[in-house]
Amino acid sequence: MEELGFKGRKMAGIIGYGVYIPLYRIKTEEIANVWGRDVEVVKSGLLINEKSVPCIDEDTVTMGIEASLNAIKRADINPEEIGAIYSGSETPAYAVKPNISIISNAIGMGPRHLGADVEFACKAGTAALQMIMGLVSSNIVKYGLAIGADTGEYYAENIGDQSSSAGSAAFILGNNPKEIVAEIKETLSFTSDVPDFWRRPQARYPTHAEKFTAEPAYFKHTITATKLIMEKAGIKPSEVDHVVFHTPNGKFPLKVAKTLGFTKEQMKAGFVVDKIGNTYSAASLIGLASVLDVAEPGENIILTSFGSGAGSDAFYIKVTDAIKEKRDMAKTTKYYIDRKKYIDYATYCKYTNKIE
Amino acid sequence: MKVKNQMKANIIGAGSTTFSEHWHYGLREMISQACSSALKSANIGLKELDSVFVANCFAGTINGQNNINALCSDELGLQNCTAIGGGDAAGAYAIVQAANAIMSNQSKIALVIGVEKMSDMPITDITKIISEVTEQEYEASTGATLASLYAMITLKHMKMYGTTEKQLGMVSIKNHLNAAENEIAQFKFKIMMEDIAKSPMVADPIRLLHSAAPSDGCCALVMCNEEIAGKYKDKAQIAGTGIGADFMAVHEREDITAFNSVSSASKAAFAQAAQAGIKIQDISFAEVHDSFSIGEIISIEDIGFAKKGSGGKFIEEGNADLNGKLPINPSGGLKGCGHPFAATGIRQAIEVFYQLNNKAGKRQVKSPEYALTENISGTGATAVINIYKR
Amino acid sequence: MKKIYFFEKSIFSPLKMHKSNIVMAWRKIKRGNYIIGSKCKECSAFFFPSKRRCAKCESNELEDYRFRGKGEIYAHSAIHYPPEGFEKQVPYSVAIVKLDEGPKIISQIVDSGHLEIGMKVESCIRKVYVDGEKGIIHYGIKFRAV
Repeated sequence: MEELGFKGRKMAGIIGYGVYIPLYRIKTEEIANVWGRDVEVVKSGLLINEKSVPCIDEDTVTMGIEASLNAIKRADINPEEIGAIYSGSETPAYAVKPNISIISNAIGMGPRHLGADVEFACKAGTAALQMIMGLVSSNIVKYGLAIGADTGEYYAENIGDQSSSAGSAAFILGNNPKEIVAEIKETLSFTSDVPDFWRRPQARYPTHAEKFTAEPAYFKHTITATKLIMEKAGIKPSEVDHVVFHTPNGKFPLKVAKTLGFTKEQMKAGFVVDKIGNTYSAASLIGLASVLDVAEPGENIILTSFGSGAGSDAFYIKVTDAIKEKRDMAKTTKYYIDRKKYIDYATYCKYTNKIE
Repeated sequence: MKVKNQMKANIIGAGSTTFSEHWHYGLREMISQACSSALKSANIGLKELDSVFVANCFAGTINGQNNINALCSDELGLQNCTAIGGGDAAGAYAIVQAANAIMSNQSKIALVIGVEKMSDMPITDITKIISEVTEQEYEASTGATLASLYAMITLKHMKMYGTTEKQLGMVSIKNHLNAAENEIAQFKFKIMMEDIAKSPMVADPIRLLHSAAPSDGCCALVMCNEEIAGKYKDKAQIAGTGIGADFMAVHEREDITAFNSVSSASKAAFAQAAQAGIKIQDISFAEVHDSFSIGEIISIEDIGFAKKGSGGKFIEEGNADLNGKLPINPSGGLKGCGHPFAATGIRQAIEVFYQLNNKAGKRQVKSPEYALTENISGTGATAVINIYKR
Repeated sequence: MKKIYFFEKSIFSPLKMHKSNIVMAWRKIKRGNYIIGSKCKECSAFFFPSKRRCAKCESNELEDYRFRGKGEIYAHSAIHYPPEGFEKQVPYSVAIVKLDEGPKIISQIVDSGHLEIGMKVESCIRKVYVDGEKGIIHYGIKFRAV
């Protein structure tokens, strides 16, 4: 059933946002050389130069806390006023015990809030965002916090390990027009049952169905959802200022852009996967934060995420005047991308617990 | 507290197991061995004892055996046994408790035991258990080990006073040299400065050869009142006792290079010993708590043997050597003998007993008159100092 | 065969069966992201950890105070011989950090390269101890270079 839109409800908008990317990076060639892969082939196939690696003592809880604290700085509110928190991740700290209870306690939200953990592969973060939108626009809560975070990991011998990385993004939504820095004017989702990438509970790493994940999964859902949101918003590709897609690698989102008629210029502000890899549930949200760091008031943004299993969440966002005074109140996405320390493959295995 | 004609407590016998990895002995076997040896040296039987004090630190955690005084009663067939805790100062605390019982006439002859069995577990588990003597909530839980706390104290001492790696090394070298002449010591081999520099780093800048190793061992003393001691040729009398305390967590101390527990314990002990006319300059030798090399240097300063900051120089000038002005740890100390936590305090008293009665063999200090023992818990949360005369 | 393996395991590493003290961990959790100590209402002296009595002016009027989490390194040491549970982090550094407000706290230093006394640091939350595969995760305060 189609969503009904915001008739008669308050508009939910972003009042604060923040990201966190761990300090450590491993270069694509560092991994490729261990497994005897042709470095140039891997680089041109994935368009990823290096990816972020969490330190041995980091996880989606600690990264979620950092991103949330940045979002609270920009929102400039008392964390106790946040009435709901949803965290989307496919690598939560526990299988049973939600990230949000640890995060909400750590950032000082107090005990009175709604919340739970969300899972939908790489679109768990945007799914959390939609849930917060519902609570905020129906005025059930004044402010809501949505987090996307992952410490993506893969079988060491598989090409998937060249791209899976770690990061988090947090968005605080409110419905007071004076506080909103970016309005979320439309949202929709396109979901179907596609076994393109999954993990059973006992398995440590997920399995992906290789080439099958492209056409019937990523491309089908991302392209369809994006077409639908632009139809709903009544705009053409040429009228979009910034577009952000989920980034399982660098090639797929550029291909979607080309298919739909977007230019590389429109992709530029939100395209960070070549420097930090695929941060799974945080990927499209970090891309959005990266855009908000540079977008001008009045510009619009199309964001379409993708989660295996499979589905895409699409958003039509309009930046307001308030963005200018808020965006420098916390560390920018660029700060985290540029802040890096390279490690070798052995240290990478140590930090990601690949050594039993 | 000035009480005229106060009854003093004396040591009249001592016995000990060797300090080693005693794979074949448990707590019971070590207790029996040390106690038989102590009783034999005092030529008395079990029936003549009227109280027992047993110091222990980790038997509950490592050996699953709490209620250690019950174990002693069971093993020795004795009734009146009290368990004494207090981290690695438990040994000295037990001596003080026995002395109090004797001086208040509640006991005529007491057996004082210190026992520890630490080799039963892997090193990472032992490292975690040892941090039980540090502050749990704010120190040990962060992953800081006892060695790392001493390492930061060492770093600060080096920065503030210019204490050198060489001076730290000389402490270990001297103690190994002395231990070579001590039958009960675990590490009877000489070491050189290069060995120390090559030994693995435990917690920067403390290396393995700066650190006393946890060990298995049991020591026992026979203590009695003055009347009974009068019948003995070999004896050592406690002339003064001082107990001091400081913040348990190192980070709560204003100056982490100062062991306030040691300076206050020293003051209190010498105040008592002054009644017998003993001053700090009269001390012939001292057994101090060198769980890490910096421990000996800071102890020398805070007991009052050297000015604050010049402990390293004191060592470098050879004053602490066996034939120096003021021999420190003629037994080999914790570094040379090994450190079964609760037994160490008793071992220090045994060394005093032997030295004061000219029974220390090749490591005999020349004509000693007065001796001092200093036993610390953890990073100096508590300190117990005893001053002895013959 | 399975029986013998279990027997050997329990003889040589009984501590591996040991679970964290959950309630003790929970008391720490209540402090959350913050370094909570005390401030004397009378003389404005700061204390960490919390105190019930002011050591400076003897007052009993102390209130909870949340430290800003900024400070500098007072002393540090890199640990090579770890306690149980910290083996995979070796070598890791601990430091005594002097907070801007005055009191000191001990903590691990992360993401910081070479450490010097006087280096400016800020607090963050990280995993401190993971109790095996079945136990809980202990989160805690660590510091990183600014």
